[in-house]
Amino acid sequence: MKKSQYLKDQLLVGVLNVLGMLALTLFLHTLNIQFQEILLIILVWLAGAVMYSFLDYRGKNKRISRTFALLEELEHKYLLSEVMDVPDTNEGLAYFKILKACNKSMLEQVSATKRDRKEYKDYIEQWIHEVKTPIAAIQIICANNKSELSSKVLSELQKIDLYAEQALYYARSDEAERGFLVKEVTVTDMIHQAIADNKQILLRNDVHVNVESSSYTVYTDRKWVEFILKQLVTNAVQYRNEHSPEIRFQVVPILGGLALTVKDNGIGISENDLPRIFDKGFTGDNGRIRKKSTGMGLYICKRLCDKLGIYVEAASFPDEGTSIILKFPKGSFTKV
Amino acid sequence: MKIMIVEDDETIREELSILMTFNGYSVCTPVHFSNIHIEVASETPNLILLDINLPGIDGFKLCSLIRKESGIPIIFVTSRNTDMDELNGIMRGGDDFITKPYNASILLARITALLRRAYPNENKDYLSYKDVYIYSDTGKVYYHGESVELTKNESKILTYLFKHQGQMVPRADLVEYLWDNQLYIDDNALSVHITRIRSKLSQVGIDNLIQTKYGQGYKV
Repeated sequence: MKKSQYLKDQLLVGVLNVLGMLALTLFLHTLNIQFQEILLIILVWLAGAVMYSFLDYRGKNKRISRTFALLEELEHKYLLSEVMDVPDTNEGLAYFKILKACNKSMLEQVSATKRDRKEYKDYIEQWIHEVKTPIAAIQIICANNKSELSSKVLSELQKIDLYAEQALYYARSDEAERGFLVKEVTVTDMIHQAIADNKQILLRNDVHVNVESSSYTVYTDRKWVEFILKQLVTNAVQYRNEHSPEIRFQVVPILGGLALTVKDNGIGISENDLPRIFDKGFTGDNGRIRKKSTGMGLYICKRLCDKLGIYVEAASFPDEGTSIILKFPKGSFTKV
Repeated sequence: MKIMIVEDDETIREELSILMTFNGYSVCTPVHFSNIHIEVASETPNLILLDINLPGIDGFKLCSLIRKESGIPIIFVTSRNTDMDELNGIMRGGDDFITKPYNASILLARITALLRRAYPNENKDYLSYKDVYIYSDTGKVYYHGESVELTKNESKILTYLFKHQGQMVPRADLVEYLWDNQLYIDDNALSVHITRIRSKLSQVGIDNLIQTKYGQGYKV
């Protein structure tokens, strides 16, 4: 609180004091008291008033500064009333009670919202697990009745499965640390699994697949990385070139870790769009013009990579293709 | 080899038994789950596919019950793919863990691998047709005392044809089988491989082993 602000607040008191002084001066003057004596009395009054104001200002200023400092330190600022000093004046106490009541209602709102969110998230997870059973059933039915038709159904089913997993990993990605199972995994094993899960889509679109063999391993959560790879394969198929689509997987050691590159020869991404492909809901020219796109796939991949400590980057030229590079760090998590 | 399928979803149970029967396994499919360990003792399967979410009892408990009496290979099957489940499955003595939905060929491959590990003596490592023998681990083909070596791709193709003797194998099935074995070969490359296999076989005097049905596939 600035001094000028304090003085402004105290303006009425000041004016009353001055009026009082004037009235006293007039009264004493009518009583024929000497001017010097009147001045002395007024000066004593003035000294008392100034002294009081100074002390009052210092006290109030100290309390306010301390409360602000406390507020600054708090992570959840709405919890202030729980930790601040209880005021010693009746006025302060009234405001304190008001603040407490507001905070209580706020806390109730916050926890109700948290509970709702948790319930909704649990339901989403539950739903995804339930929908997996019919997906599995359709898969075996198709395997038992192989035909042109079943392979069409299977390739659509793979899309449904990927969308369901997208929702699952999106729901989980904000509290990922809880669900990790970090083990040593051979990188090419994860690649082969991602290909196997996209087998029908790849075969139906005549995509040439090339996996450069290597035996490098990383410490990571296998399922999460497989989901990321599945998403990348699906993207590569969706934005393929029609003549001779190809996907190439490469694992190479780099300075400080291991790089897994998923490279396609598809339609590519324009220079303007490239920096934003990992943004939530970003669809870009390709998504708008060519195919429907939700803009969620790569966003979720990026979120998962951040949680897993994988650095992800993209390189692309229109009409030449796209490379997505996953960089696994060495050290405590990676053995090269 | 007999496989016990413990699964509460009726459709999946039926289709799994069809799949297993079709691939040469005999199956038993109990529908009451709380006394599985007793049924295991009477049915004596060679492997159990065990769902985790069962009505009344969960698969982990069943696994512990079965493990008290037998060391039979157990594959957990679940739609809940949390990592805690997988860890739990391993701790309770499961041998493998597969999440739904599963690719049928991957499921079969896991079963074959686990059975081979658990019963090493009951597996032949070669296939034969008339006097032709193929050893899948080395890729060598023997015929009347002579031998020729095939590449990995070639021996996989010939193995698949030998497994389906007398049947017409559609090209798409062959390509899918190769993909399941992580050999990503397209339709054109398949023709090239068949040509090479034929020329290699004729070196040891095997002619006309693989018949082509134009527009359909191959047959041994």
